Parts: sequence; C-alpha cells; structure tokens
Amino acid sequence: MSTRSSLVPVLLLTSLSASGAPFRYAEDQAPAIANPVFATTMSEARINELLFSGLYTDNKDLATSPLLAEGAELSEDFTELTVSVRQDVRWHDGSPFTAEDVVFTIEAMKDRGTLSTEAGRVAWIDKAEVIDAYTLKLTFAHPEARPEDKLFFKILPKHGFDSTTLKRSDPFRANPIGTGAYTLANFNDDNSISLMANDNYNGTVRLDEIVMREVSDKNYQAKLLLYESLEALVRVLPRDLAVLQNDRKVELYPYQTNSWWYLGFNMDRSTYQDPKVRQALAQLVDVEALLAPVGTGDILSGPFVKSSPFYNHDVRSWTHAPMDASALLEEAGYIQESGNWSKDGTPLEIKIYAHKSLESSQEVVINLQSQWQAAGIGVDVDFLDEARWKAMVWKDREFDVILSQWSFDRNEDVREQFHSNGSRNFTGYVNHEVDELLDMARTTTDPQEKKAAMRKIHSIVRDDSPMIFLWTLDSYSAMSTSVRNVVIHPFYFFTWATDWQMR
Amino acid sequence: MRLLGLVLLGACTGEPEPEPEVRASPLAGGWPDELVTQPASFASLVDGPTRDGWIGLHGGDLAAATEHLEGAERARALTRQALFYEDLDRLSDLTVSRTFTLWESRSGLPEGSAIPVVAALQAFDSGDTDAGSAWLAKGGAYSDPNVTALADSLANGFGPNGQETGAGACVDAHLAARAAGDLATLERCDSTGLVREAGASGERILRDPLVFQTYALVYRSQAEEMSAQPSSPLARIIFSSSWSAADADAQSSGDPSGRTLGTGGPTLEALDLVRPLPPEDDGEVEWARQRVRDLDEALDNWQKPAADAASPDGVALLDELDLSGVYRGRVLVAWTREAILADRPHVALATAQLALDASNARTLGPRNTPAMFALLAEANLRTGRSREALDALQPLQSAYPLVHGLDETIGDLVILEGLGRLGDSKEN
Repeated sequence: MSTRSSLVPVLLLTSLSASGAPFRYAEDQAPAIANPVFATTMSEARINELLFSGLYTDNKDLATSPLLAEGAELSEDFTELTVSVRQDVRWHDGSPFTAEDVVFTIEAMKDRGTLSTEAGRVAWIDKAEVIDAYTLKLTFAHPEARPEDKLFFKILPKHGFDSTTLKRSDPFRANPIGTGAYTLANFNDDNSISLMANDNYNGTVRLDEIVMREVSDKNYQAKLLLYESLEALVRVLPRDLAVLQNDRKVELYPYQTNSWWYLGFNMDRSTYQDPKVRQALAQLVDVEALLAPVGTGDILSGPFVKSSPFYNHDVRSWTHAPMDASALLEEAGYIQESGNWSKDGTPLEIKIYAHKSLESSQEVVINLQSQWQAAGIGVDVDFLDEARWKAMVWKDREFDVILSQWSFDRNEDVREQFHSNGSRNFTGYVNHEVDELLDMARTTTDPQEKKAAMRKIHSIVRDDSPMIFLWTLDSYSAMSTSVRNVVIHPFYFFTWATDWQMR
Repeated sequence: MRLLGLVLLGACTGEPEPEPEVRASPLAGGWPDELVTQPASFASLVDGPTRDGWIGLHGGDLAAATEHLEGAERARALTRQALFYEDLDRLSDLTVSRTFTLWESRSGLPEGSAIPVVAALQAFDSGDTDAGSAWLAKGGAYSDPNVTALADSLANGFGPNGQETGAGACVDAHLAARAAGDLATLERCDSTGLVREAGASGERILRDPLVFQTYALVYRSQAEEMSAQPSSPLARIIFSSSWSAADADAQSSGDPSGRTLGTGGPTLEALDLVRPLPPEDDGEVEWARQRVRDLDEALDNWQKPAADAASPDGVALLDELDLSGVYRGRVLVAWTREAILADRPHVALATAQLALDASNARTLGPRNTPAMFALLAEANLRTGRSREALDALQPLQSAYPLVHGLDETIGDLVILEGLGRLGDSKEN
C-alpha cells in the first residue's frame, strides 16, 4: 500500500460487494479529500459530483435547475430569498436532509476558522436562517437578481461535524456523507475508490458501482481502456487521441475545461519581485520545445484559452529570445561569469516544483531545467505529492517556481488567481489596476465592457509576468462503448451520471 | 494535400489492376468503391487543371474548390459553400436573437444604442417580421443619425434605404449583392462591424447580421448558373455524402437545395440507416451514437474486403484519401444538419461530436470540414453550451475571417449568461 498522502491509505480496507459490472474510470491522482469545502483539484470536483448535491445544478441544457431545492421566492427588493428544500431527501447514513444542513454549510464556509478557498462562494450571503425544517431564508449583502445561479455549492450534513469551523483533517474527509447518487463504499488496496449507488437516492441510478482508479501513467491509462480494464479516461493526452479514436470500442467526448498550463513565480521572494527577471526567464523558455512531447496544443500569451471571449489576440506570447533575456538580466543587476548568472555574488538558482500527478509534468520540467541551465541558471527540480504540494504551494508558499495547470468552468473567472485578495493567488501578484479591472468585471452588466476589461488584464499580466503562460491542450474524455446514455458535464463531468448505464 | 499528390502519382503508374471482386454489399459500387477498384479512373478525373479544385473538395477547402473546379463540379463546390454559410446564418440568427434578448433582460439595453436596429435587421432578414417590428419598437433616440435613418426605413419594411454611408449603406450593399449574385458590393461594408458606438468604457461594436445570408444566397445563385451536366458520373458524387449515383438521384429529386443530401437514398436504406428521429428524451443521445456506430460497422465491413481485393494503388487511395472517413464525415454532417433542422439539438450534438476528428481538432481537413465545425457550434449553442460553441468556431477563424464577428457576438452571449454566476477553478 502506498504511503502517499491521499485518501487511499487513510482508511481501513473492507471487502467489495458490487452488484453488476462496475464503471471504472481513471484519474491521474486520487482525490486527497472528499469534502467539497476543501476541494482544490479536478479529481476532487469530479468525485464530489457523485457524492454531494447542491440546492441547484445544471440541467442538460446548462440551465439552472433545482436539485435539493424545491422552490424559492425572491423578495421584491432582491435582497432575500426564501428557499424551500425537498422533504424526501436523506443523507447517505439515512438521516433526513433539512434546511438546517443548508444553513450549517453556509455558516461553515463563512467561518473564518474554516480555511477554505471556497469561501467566496457564499461571501455574497449576509445571513442564512432556518425558518422551519424545510425552509430557510437567505439575506444578501447586495440585491441579487438571480441568486439561484450562485447556489450550486455542495451541501454538507450538519450532523457530520462538531462545529462550523471545518478542518481538512476532519474525519469527514475520508468518511463523507452526502446526498448524492453515490456513497463512498471502500478505499481499496490498489489505490482505487469504490462508490456504490445510494439506496436512499430519490431517483434512478443505473450504474450500481463506480470505481475510481488512480493511474498516474497516462500511457498505461490508454492501454487499460483499450484492454477493457477501464470504462473511461477523464482526460486523454493529445498524443493518444488518434489511437483511441480509431478503436471501435472507444468513443471520445469533448471535455474542454478551459485549462492552461503555466510556470508561476513566487513574488514574495526578492529574486522574482523584479519584473525584468521574470520577463528574462520567460524569454529563456522555448515553449514549443516543452510542448512537443506532451502533444498538440495552443501556446498562450495570457490566462485564457484562445477560444475564450477574454483572450486578447493582440497580445503576443514571449518568444524564445536569449539575447533579450540577457539584456534584461543585466538591467536587473545580474552579471554572467563563466556562463553563470549571479547578482552581488549570489548565483541565480531556481527550484522548480511540479505536482507528481500533472500529466507529463516530468518531461516538461526536465526539459525546462535543461533550457535554463544552458542559459547559465542553476536549476533544481522536485516533484511533490499532494500533501507536500498543499503545504508548500497552497499553504506556506515555499517555492521559487511552480509548474501547474488551472482548469476553469465556462465563466473563466481568473479573479482568485490574479486579484491581490484572490484565494488562489499563490504567486503573490499585486497590481492595483488589475484589481480594479477584476472588480469592475464582476459587477458590470455590459458584456463588451467586461470583455474589454478581461482583455486588458490579459495584456497586463502578460507584461507583468507573474506567470509564464504555456499552453492549453486538446481535452477529450474517452469512454468505452459499453457505457451508454453518456452526456458529460463540460466541467464537473459526472453531473448527469445517473443516466449512464452499462450495456 | 501532400498525401493526395503522392497518391495521384501512384495512381498513374499504370500497374495492372486486379479484376474487381463482386461483393454483395450495399456499399459495392459507390464512389469510394470505384476509387479503390479503379484508381486509374480517379487519376484521369483529377489529373489536369482542376486538380487543386479536387484537392480542395476533398480537404474541405471550399474556396480552392470553387476557384479551380469548373461547370457542374464548381456548382457542387458552390452549393457546399452556400450550405456552410446557411449553417452560419442560422447560427448567427440564433446568436443575435439570444444575445440581445438576454442583454435586455439582464441589464436593459444601453441608452441610444443601435442594438434594437441590429436585432430588427436580423429578424427581418430571417423572415420574422413580427420580431423585427417588436425590436424596432424598443428603440428610442439613437445616438448615430445613420442608425436613426435605417430604423426609419425599416419601419416601412426591409428593403433598400438609399443611404450613402453607415449601416444603411451596408444594408443596401447586401441587397445589391444578393440581387446581382456578386459579393463585390460588400466592399462598401465595414467588415469588422456594422455599427460602432460609444460604450461604457470604449467602443461598442455591433456585428453585421446579414453577411452570412448574403454569402449563402450569392453562392447559391452562382451555383445555379453553372452547367448542370457533370463531366463524368464519378465527378458528380466523388467526396460527397452520396455513396452512389442512385443516392444522389433519390435525394436531389426530393430536395434540390442539398440541405438533406446524405440523409437518405438507397445505400443508407439498404444499410437500415434511414431512421426516423426517436422520441425526445434521455435516450435520444444514445440513439444518435448507435446510428453512427452502425454506420461505422458497415464501413468497416466494406473497407477490409475492399482493401484485400484492391491493387496497391487502390489501397493507397483508400488509406491516404481516407475514403471511408470522408464519406462518414459527409454523412454525419448531413445527419447533424437534419437533426438541427428538426429542432433536435441533442441528437445533433452527439452526432457532430462523433464527426469531429479529435486528433486534428484544431484544423480544417477532409473530416473536419467547415460545415462540421459550424454545425458543431450550432448544436452546442442550441443545447446551452455557448462557451463550447466558441471552441467549435475557433478552427474556422483563419480561413473564414467573417466568423470573427459571430465569434465576438457569441462571446457577448457567454458573458451575459455568466453574469451573476460564480466561476469555479481547480488545479489540473
């Protein structure tokens, strides 16, 4: 058994009791936690979609549709919403779901002691009150014309916690109780997680069992699908697309999660506070060479994918220009002796961290290491498991440069990444003009004004270079044709999995 | 295109061809079968001044096909162009209507903006006069006098307005182009926007809602002027959704517009692939996928023995021209369009997703034709996937700069749909 820090080793193993053929899907990395308040990765978002429910969700036309809510009434001044919740819903452990759970969830997310990056999802709610067992009232900080659109966050059981101050280490992380269509049944000794259809679910569930298999090797993932040892890959490497597409037992599904890869600088560290240094490093990267082993993709100049309405096509990505980079480093006070760069006697040395599970990250980082070393920069690399990544990147920000990938839903809201108060602003980036533009973009109702603001942000962050924007990859899921009635959600993947069935 | 050139050279080597094997398959005897069994006939068809046109017709480069083909073959290319622009026009109509309706409901239209006039133009041009009149009634004092003049003219009906400048002049240029069957007059239009006006923080650009309809009508009228007599039976159907001449006969007699070409005919009937659309429910997506699987199975069953019996030149044509894939792609485009016209967007989306060659998803090509991307975008939009519609349109941008305006308007729609929502982002 692995000693990695994921859910898998935390739990006791019990035997499987599956009925029917399981639906098995591969993730590069197992979810580290099954608590939506602390979900930070796509694999966690996906499994949460099976385990938990929100008051509202997307229907298959991506329109807001009630899930745990039964109805809602908005006050005339748009500042209060009275929500009635369904009375026929039970938690996985059989306890009845009530309005208390909704209010508890909101209070827990707002609790300052709950160190969650999801707190922004309820920041717009001033107060949540229980009216009766199945009715609650939400009061807003400002008028809200369509509050239901913001009530997608997953609801937690009040009885699953001791207080509204939630911690990542709560036992709930490995023993989740939700209202979703599936219950977490087992953590298996092959690093897989078994989910069983929820007996209390008030609806039809056609897959009896879903098994998440952690398979970090992408090449192996494709083989497992082709050899029918898996039913689905959530994300296929571009280089595998042709093979999978030509196999009649497999079908591809577009799964464009608006994702982009980047190298992020820690701007709390003095070396990276100087934009000239960041720009120089950007111009010492041959991005095309980094991308080649990963597959086909679009090289980007900013924090949006090229099909985004926010992408600024007038902005050019940094080109590989070692001479220009040298000039910038000299302007920043560095000198090159015997090929190596240093400043005030201190050599320019960089430690690059990448997450172990990021697809092909090892090839990319090793290639980058060699590019920067060839330019006279000392480079060390390390690949972090989930626990170290969370600690060193998210919590303590103990890094020079990270290689990572962000995935966005259709709103492509980069506020958390680039606002000085953003919960995912690991680089420590601060630009007051960007803050103002982000604030304005969140409040304006003129789409072209918002578009212009976001395109301006694109231009500014490219020049400021808190990150070196790399690329977006063609993103597809692959599914065995033995699975039928499949429609995948563009971001959460499993939203409509209750309709899926095995042939 | 390089591959095609190599194949063409190979096909002209004059090697003896084996006797065509008689196969009792519904797919025996169509254009892919003819290419495999008689590669020399393909060489003789495409070897000459029209060669680049055939390459364009195969690879989805309709402009090259139109430029280099002649007579009835050029008419085929023009008709495909017209269908493609009709697809874009439908997408544009839907986009303009949804965007401005949502804009009005979410925040109210900006004061003095020409939005009601642009929305009215789109509605009138699509034949919805009631909607056009309703939009005009929403307009007030326009900040641009040219827009005011156009609105006054539209109030009397959609027709020439006699303006020399601004949006009205562009509308007249469209009408003139349609009447003359010539796109030259569109030079009077600003291709980057029909109206430019002051917005909340910068310039607001309202795109031309007439342009795709004009292109479609002009290409149709040019196609009708071409000779109706194909240069050969093969020239009539090669690289089309009609497997055989009988398919083309059956379809063209029922629908001269070509909009449903590829959805019926004796070949698909013999394969049991002409099926009524299923009930509108959760099973429709699976129905659409199963129909494609059945087509794939039929093509696989044809391809293997066809390759076994073919000469090296025939095998080269089969592989390098991806004959099976090209026919499949054309049929799936036809099925997608059929589902959209029948207002079955989920069937259309499932079909279009399977039509997409994911291994070359960012480029136009033999499978990834312009119409495939336009229809994929429309199916996405009609199923609420406005953001995904932008993904589908992206590969068209460089070859079809006109798509940029549509892309910008869909971008506005995406933003409007997201107003008030909280975005989600995760690592990896």
